[in-house]
Amino acid sequence: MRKPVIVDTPYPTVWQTAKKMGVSKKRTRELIKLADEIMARRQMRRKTEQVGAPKNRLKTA
Amino acid sequence: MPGAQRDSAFLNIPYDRAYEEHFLAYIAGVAAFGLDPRATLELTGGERRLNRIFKLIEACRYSFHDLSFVKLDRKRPTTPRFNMPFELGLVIGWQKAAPSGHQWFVFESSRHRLQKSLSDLNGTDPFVYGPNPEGILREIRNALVRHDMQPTAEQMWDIFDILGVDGVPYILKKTGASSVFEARPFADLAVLARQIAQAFVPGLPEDP
Repeated sequence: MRKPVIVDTPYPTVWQTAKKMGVSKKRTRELIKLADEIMARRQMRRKTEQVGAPKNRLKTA
Repeated sequence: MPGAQRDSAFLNIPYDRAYEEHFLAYIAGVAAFGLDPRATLELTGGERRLNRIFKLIEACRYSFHDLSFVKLDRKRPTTPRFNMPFELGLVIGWQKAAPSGHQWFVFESSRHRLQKSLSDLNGTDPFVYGPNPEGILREIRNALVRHDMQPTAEQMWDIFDILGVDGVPYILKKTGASSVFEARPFADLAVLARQIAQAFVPGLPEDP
């Protein structure tokens, strides 16, 4: 097994990523809003999930 | 490495509908490590394509080469896909001629396929991810490590899951694209993955 490579790069901000990818400011704002909405929806769903539901959703290969 | 962006990872992968989830797994996986995905999908018009591919590779500190689709397609005339091994060859040739610290990783779905399909790489350990895209997330975690913060399997899965379940339908509708393998959806997915990663992976910087 090959040794893992150390990543020591500073994280780009979402605006830096958008600029690099050529995404407009308007579109970036929309995508940030979308992400926030998705997160809020998921948080709400998790709160309403029954206690004791299986937590590990990772499939096994 | 003139002009190389240390936070960019070149994805050398097949653009095939059957591979869509794998594609999302690579985007989610590199985003979780704070890297921006780059791919030849971004290249449009102008200068000779090969030159633009090379410039894009040169601009990335890391590259992931998935050779699992090096096989005959069904469309006539049936031909193998040579783009992925060709681009891997470009990277290796470039690094042999002018080492620059670029790190490349070979990914495969089956353990012994690489020995048969590209025996010149004997001695290079591929990252074997198995049949599912979840395996790609696991192998990216085996390929990369961060000392400041290592994303967990669950964090990476959450980013991947959101991209597929919520992100792709919205982005395809908004862009009018028929597939994620187009420039606009790819750029949108990279930005969305970055924003979601910020929510899931503690330690990522927030924009002021």
